[in-house]
Amino acid sequence: MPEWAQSIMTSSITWAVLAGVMAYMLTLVGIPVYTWWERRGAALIQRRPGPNRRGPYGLVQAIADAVKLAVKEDVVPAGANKWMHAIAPMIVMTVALTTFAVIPWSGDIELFGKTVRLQVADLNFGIIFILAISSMAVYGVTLAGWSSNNKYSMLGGLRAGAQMVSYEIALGLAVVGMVLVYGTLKLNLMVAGQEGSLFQWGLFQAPLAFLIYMVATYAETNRVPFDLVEADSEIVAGFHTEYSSLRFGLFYMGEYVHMAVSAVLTVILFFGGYHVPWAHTLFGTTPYATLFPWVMAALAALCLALAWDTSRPKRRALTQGNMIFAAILVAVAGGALLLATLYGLFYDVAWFAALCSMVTQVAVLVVKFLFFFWLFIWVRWTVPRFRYDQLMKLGWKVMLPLALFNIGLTSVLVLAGWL
Amino acid sequence: MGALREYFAAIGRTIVTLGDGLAVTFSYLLRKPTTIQYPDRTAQPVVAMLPERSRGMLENDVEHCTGCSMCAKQCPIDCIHITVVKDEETKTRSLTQFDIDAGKCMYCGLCVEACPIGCLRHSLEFEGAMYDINRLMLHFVTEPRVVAKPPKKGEEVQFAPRGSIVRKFLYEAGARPPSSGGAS
Ligand code: SF4
Ligand code: SF4
Repeated sequence: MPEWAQSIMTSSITWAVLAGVMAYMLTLVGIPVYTWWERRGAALIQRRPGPNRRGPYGLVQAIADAVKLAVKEDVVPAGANKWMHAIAPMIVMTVALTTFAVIPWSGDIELFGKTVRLQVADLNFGIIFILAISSMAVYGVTLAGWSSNNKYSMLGGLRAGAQMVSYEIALGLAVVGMVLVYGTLKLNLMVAGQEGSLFQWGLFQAPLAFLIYMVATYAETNRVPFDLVEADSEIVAGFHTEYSSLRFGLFYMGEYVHMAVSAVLTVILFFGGYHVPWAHTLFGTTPYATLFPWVMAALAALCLALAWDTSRPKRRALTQGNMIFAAILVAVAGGALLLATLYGLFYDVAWFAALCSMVTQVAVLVVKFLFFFWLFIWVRWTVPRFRYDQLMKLGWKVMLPLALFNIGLTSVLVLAGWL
Repeated sequence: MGALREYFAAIGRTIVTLGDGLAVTFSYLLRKPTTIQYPDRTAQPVVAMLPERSRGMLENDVEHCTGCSMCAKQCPIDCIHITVVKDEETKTRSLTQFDIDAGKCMYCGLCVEACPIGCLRHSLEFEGAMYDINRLMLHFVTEPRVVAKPPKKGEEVQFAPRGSIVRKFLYEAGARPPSSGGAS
């Protein structure tokens, strides 16, 4: 390996950029897929097929939706505060994307004597950064409601203000509990603290904090059952009633990005981040490198199964482009198998094995992330919306005392040395 | 102490019931959809599967229409337009216009109830998507025609098959052919 290649590979900028790409893949690239997923999941839970006509499994529908949004007329209502109206969706989106900066996508790996990690910024107040930034999202929502010159928007904005502020307290206090458990504010150290057995996971260390955190997260992202901000049966679409075209698109994407951040954060705080439980006892000293070929094999198997399914005559009769999709899937499967073979050949080349272990860790994180993303959708079609007074009651009378109790309990347990 | 116990019991109940709910929705996720894929995977053409009394687009068998305008008077949104011209010499009345704006019609069926002859009726057709809404103005009379006499008592009137008239109009106006049905 030449000198310059080594210096590129060990430069922190390279990894920051890669981590940024990772975040964009999971959010901006992922959003069309998430919308499709949400619609399809909703449909299946309601026992109807859902979008399945455009492209294999209806996947192209998502792209069609995006194009439709982009080419629509952008209407700014009369009497709206133009500046605020334009800025509000940008705030929501920017805030949601910024929080990704401190997410560690993988653990430390050794490359040519240097330690690198897939993370944009290793801030020593990581979790505080996320809380601080994401609490600014409420400005976007409230401003949108206020600047639209529409009563429904106004109501939505007001609800957003009250709801997000009250649940942020519970959220912050739940996180304080986790900070006590791990003894650090850095997200990568938090994940490192969950290495080892399954019971090292935050979920088992502080189940109460997990409960509070989950509920508060749903409220923070304005998802059902806390979607009073945009309650469509009450106030049309709430704060984004008066938005159209890409500005609406920004809100829409912002919601999904916010969900993605929350899902990743849930995994990092409570579900071991990129760790596999009992990795070291089960898979030896370099567990993630050992797991790499298996991960690749699983990916290839998944791709091949999907390719087989799409190329069945029954599926082909439904949609167009199935064979192209299947070909892409087979290519991906081939690439995965190739990588697995390469690992088999070069597993004793230290830097290659290190890279492989990083890929495994990212894959583990993404799988957990997808589960929590799915949970958002699942809960959305399970639980009905809260009434406004119930929401406030839950926030202030249940969540807040519970979070305080949790802090007390955790502190005692930590002091007693049980955690 | 009781209040505190109730507080924690409520939290416990929340978790349990939430799990119950999620289990229910998940079981639904795995079941077969109950809806039928419209339009091209139905067992028969959709129109053939509609119940007898369903109210599709209106059609008038003008051959039997007396031009009495009862239907137009009944229509709450005035979407039936009828013009009858009287020829002073031959003392005949002829129908020069019988338009129904299917784009406005709300399928309430009041006009059908009012028609003393029964020549105005609902077909079962409903697939009237057009690129131009004005094309949904269905002109049932293209050239002036002498109005029909009301049938005598006990006389059976033979109407054109239900739907045949409006379907012709729809094709001429550019609606897509009805869903084939039974395909794939
Ligand atoms: S069905 Fe009702 S709305 Fe339609 S033409 Fe007849 S009376 Fe008018
Ligand atoms: S359709 Fe019936 S009600 Fe209408 S003008 Fe003709 S006969 Fe009279």
